[in-house]
Amino acid sequence: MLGRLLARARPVSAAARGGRAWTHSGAAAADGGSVCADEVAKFGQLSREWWSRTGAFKYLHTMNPARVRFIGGILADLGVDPRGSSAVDVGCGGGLAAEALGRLGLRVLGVDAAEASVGVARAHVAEDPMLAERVAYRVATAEQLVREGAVFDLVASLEVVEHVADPARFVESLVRLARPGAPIVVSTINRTPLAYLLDVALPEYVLGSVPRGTHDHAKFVPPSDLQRMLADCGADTLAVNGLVLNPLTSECHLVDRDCGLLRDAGVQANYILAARKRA
Amino acid sequence: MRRAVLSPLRTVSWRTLDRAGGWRRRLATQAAPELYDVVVVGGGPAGCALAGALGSLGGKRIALVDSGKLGDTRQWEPPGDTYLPRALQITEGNKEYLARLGLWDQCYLDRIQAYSRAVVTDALGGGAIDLGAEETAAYMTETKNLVGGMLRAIDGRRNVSVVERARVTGIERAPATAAGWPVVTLANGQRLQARLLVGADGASSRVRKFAGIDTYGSEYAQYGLVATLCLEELNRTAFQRFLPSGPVALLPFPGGFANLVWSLDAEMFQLLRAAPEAVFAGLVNAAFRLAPAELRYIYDLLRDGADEATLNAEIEWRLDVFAKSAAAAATAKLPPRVAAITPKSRTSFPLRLRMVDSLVADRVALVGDAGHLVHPLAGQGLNMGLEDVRCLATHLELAAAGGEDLGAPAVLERYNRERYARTLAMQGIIDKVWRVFGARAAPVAALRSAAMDGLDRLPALKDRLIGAFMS
Repeated sequence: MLGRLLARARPVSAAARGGRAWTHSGAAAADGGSVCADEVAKFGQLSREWWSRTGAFKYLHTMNPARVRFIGGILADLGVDPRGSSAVDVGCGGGLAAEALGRLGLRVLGVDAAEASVGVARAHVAEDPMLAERVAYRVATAEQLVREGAVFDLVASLEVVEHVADPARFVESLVRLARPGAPIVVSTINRTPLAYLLDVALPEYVLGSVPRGTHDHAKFVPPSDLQRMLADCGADTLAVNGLVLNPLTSECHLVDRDCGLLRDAGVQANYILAARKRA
Repeated sequence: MRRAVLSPLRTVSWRTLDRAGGWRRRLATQAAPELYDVVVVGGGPAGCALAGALGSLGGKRIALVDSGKLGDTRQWEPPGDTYLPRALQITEGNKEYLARLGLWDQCYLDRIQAYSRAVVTDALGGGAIDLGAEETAAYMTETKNLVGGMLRAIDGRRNVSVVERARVTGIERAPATAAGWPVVTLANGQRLQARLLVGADGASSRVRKFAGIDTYGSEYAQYGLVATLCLEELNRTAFQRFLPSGPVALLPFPGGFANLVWSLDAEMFQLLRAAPEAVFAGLVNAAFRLAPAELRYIYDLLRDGADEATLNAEIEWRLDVFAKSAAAAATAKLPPRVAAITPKSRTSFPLRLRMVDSLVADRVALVGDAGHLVHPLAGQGLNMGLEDVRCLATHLELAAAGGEDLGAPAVLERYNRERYARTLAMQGIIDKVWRVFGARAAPVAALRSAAMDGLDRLPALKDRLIGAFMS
């Protein structure tokens, strides 16, 4: 057990994901959605660091392959061929996940409320000539897309829900963006003492690897809460896995939710969840 | 949507370049390069194996580029009465890997000899070691048979394009729009742009030069003389004898044929390559049986231009004496006698030790001889190359599943971390063996032969040795 704890004793993720937040413009805020203006400003300022593997978002770079493998596995389980399917990445930030999903073969729309992040994402994907036409970005919120009536074969929102003002409403928008029967994948951080240690205290105050104030422990979301929010708007949970960093290899691994009789032992900090919208 | 933003940019840059006068015509005919996830330069065994392995990455576009006539190799019809001298020894582990990829079964399997026993002897000290394993330890195959089979298997993979008879005339970094992806220009005018460029183009790799990866190492001042031998008996054992002039190896082919690999210095190489074919067969028999002083005497006769009959009589007489001696009693340690060599089968290659600073650079990875050259005395050259292929393919598969950019530094660094040190270690071991066996001083010779005899009596240690080289 100590080993397990130590394995996580380095910040598993810590870093924030693209602020699901309003743009600085008052117009967007007026829509009264789930977004939080302070968060948008925060990620806008950090946007230049999105693609630095040593910067504020380095843990996201580490986590990304594991998150995308999880999503690829869910698509395979549901018999969805990524080629020819559409996906939306809500709160795409600099486009780390959107590009990776594009490489799986999906047509991806990345949206983020922070204009600066979307600018970075656009510039970065333009450097990849094999991806540029499969991945597009917009400054938008989930609610905006819902109002436009957009639906997708996959809805992903990774490391975002812990940054929004109204998680329940945010989750509802995610579900409305999914085609009936389509998967919704959300990753975030559990509200536990361990998560405070690994995702706030260590990275922000001890190691200084993540800017202070990136995460607010009070806004972390336990998996059971997330499952309930999803179920309330018509999406049943398919799978929940923990995301654990191996500090020796700096690689991130998917772990089971439960460890034998220890319920939720694997999802004490970062986790990823897939649900399916009822048909 | 991205297109709409990009195309005006392109127009602007073209117009600017048009004004540069001299470039105008070239640009006008130059279409945008074809885009690939991975471009493998070099259609040898390592390049083909990698293309075959990556053929299972659904949705990834792979190109295999070679200057040679791969089509001829693909349609090669093996001669019924001999084997080609260019041959490879493949370990059981690597054969299994190729079989899993579906690259092995397309070869002419009846032309591949599985063997489990290797006998290594030392001419100077008289030591011997008999490396016998229960199961098949390695396979001897003609290079063309293996590559042809792999090419036929690759034909069935829709995501792999094979571009043959296309010499690489230039490699450059793309302009900033594609984040410096390498662009390979071919003699036929085709231009391929790659997320990841793999150099499987051998010892004098162009890809390695383009990437600016430095090499260092030493010349062994030796040449490898290879030939196809016809034996008097069927044989399923590999034999190697360390002579003062360098190691000589006889490796089994089916039907009583064998592959000869003889390492020689430049002068001896010239001498033996020019020797009449009928004499050459006798020279091989002598090399595995006679004492160094006797061999020296025969080589002196050859050097002095003795005629064929004299040479043959001299060799036959000495072999007769040997056959009646006590040393010949240990027949199990001797290869069957060579009856003849396949006419005109003698060919050669230089022997070098070459190491690289790194197996990777920006969007570039090296596999096979491009990344390491070793002395063929342990038959490890291609086996190290196939280990590279296996390692790189595994990391690329994982990266693809995680949506990673296959040419990203993080991905390539995983390959380099795993392979670089192991490659250097293997090169070091083979070089040490070479140096220990290259020594002619009597005490060294006595010591190494004692060590071989000692090792021969320690089965556990012997098994580990076999394991280290064979699997």
